[in-house]
Amino acid sequence: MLSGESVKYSLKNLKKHKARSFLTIFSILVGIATIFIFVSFGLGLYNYIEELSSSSSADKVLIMPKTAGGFTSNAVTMNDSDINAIERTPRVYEATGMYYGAALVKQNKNQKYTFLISYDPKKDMILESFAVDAIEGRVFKPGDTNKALLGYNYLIPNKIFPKALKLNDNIEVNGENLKIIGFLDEIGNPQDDSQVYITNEQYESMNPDTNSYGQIFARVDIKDINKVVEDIEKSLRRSRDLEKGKEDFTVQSFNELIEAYSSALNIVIGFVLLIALISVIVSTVNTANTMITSVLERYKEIGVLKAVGARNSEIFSIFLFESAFLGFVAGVLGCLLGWTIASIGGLILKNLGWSFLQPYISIYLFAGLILFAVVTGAISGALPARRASKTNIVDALRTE
Amino acid sequence: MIKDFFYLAFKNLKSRGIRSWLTLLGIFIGVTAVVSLISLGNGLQMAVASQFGISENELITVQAGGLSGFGPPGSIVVDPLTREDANAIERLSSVKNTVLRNIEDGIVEYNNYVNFRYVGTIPENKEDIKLINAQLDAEPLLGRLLKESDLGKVVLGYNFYNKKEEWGDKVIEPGKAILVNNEKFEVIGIVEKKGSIIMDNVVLMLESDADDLFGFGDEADVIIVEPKNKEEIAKTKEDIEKLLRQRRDVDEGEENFEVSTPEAALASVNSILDGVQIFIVIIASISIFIGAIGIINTMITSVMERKKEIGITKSVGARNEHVFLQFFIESSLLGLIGGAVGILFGTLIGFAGIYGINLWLGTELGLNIDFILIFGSLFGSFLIGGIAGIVPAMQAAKQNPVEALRG
Repeated sequence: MLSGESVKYSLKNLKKHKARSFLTIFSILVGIATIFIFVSFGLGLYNYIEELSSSSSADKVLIMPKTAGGFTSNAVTMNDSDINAIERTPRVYEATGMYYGAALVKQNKNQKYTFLISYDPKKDMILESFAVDAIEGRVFKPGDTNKALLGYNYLIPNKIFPKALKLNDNIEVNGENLKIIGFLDEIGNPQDDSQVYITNEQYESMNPDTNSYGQIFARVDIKDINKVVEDIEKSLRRSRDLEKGKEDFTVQSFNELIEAYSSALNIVIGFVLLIALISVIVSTVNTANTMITSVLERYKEIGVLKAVGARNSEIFSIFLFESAFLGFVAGVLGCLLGWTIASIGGLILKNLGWSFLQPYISIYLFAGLILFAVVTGAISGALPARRASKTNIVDALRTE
Repeated sequence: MIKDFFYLAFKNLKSRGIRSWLTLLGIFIGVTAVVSLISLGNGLQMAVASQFGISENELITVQAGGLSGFGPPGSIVVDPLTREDANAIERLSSVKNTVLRNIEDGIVEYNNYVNFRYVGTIPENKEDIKLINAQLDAEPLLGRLLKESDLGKVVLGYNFYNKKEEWGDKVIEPGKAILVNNEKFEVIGIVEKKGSIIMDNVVLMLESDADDLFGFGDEADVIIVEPKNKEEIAKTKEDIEKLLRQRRDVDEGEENFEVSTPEAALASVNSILDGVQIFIVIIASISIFIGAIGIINTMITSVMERKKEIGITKSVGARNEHVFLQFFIESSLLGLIGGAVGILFGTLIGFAGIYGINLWLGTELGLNIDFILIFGSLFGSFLIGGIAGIVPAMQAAKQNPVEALRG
């Protein structure tokens, strides 16, 4: 129903009012570019989370002391007898404790506060859960003493210390001299990448008063994991002699924890997109305005077209095509602009150490947003186009 | 003269009906978004300040260095502060009084229901209690606050009294007994609602009672310092820093402790929130920008349509600047009207949002009308309209009357 002739006619019109067409396209493309940027970064974050909850973490369960809101507890202790109780639970393969603390790390005259994490090299579940491995050197072996494993950022000069650290260097952690046996691969955020890892034995010898693990990891049968979580709760209640509802611990599967993060992420991304959508609404209003003007200007012309035999549907499609075409051009340019900005932004973030915040660009994103721009263009042009098609020939021809 | 321009501009805008409305709508939507987000952000900033218990008092807090942001003060530190540190600080000539405080995780049981709550310590002499009550800004709602002799007794935050659903629908009041880490304590008072999650859920007990339960000995999570002269709080802060550097044997710039004044604490919280707010407002401002493009578009069309009219005005004696002013004022008016309606709606949405925050967080934020914001955005939208109109108005002014009259 849209003949080549009408397409030519529409395009000629758009060309005739260059400034107006340009401004209309510009107003749509700004909105499209904004949405492109946020969606690409949002998708990047979802991908990162997806990777976290990969197969290597699906069989992990975390057991933590309850707190009044903080990160660590000093009211509830968890120790080896809890690990035994967890390991005795059906379908639990093994369990291991980890310590958390603050570390004051020193190199010559420079110092930095960071997280200290310890694990049992015989049952490494933390590095396995996050699927990280050593990029230089190695991770812990049973029997390692006075050794430290460092995050990725220690390898980069001026990130944590002015001078990059090397394998077999000595580093002072909370007053203890430790030998560096390895560096972990980049995790992608400044906090995780500046962590210091030691063995549980090392932590206990450095903190003789310690009586509680910060967290217990368990590897369990992946089938019906919720039932296993319930069973762990039951056996801990029994071993800690607590009634139901009075638990001083929480049991959660690793993936459940990550889901909680992604639902928080949904809210944030949704909110930002909502605000970005406001600009698309404003550009829709602009497009409608342009099309209304265009119809008013060509009132007489439409009359002539009809007089020489154009049907209502043809007039309608000419104007609808015009506005959809504006949307299409804006969609393509907007995606290209968004792509450029998102890529530059990703590079900047990577240099700042936030490499997990990277845009994810797919052909679907381009296709989806261009389609979105065409549809919004068409929607804003629909009413003016209808008005144009309903033009009364006699009235139109009579006007000056 | 100017009055005539305004009259003409109004008439023109009115005669163009739907197109004027749509142009206004563009600016209106953008301004609504920005104004409502700014007022919401300001509300949130106040809410956060009240959550952190950052009040207007003039006391200095000292904390050991470590990782803040993962729990109450002092929960993850390397070298905790001690009673000797506090005593040394108290001997400084610019310091009037110091108080040690510890904040611990307590297991609270009542009516067979268990919940985890923070336990905050109260010192055991009159002077110090007065200082702490000033810092917490605590007034009793029921019963009374702790005295130095109240061993075995606790004062509870407002939510213990208000949220009976957390305790099996049985209200906790003065006279009742609760278990904290399996030890029995008598409730003697409930603190007024503070609108802060931490303060409204806190258990306050005397230092030696808490030491029996948690065993922190002479270590302290926070040292509260009252300066002798409130005008010289910055100097007192420097004195404390110097002293602690000496005592803890660290060089300047390598401090393993933090000394903060209330303003500094508030400023550091606000700087994060400011960042978030600026980010969101920038995104929302894109829609104002697009609205401005709409104004340019409308004005260009308007100049073209009135080419003949401009020719006539010029031929009866209007000068270039008159024509310029006429179009410039018209486009400024578009911005101003759109902005005014937008500010009205934006403020209303902001109010609704603050009401929502109050319901959600239990805070008591006032619904303030921010006149700076209102006049700022009103002036801003007038300006945006004007700027958007400059190029079209110049085009109109440059029109050659002969050509314009010819059509």
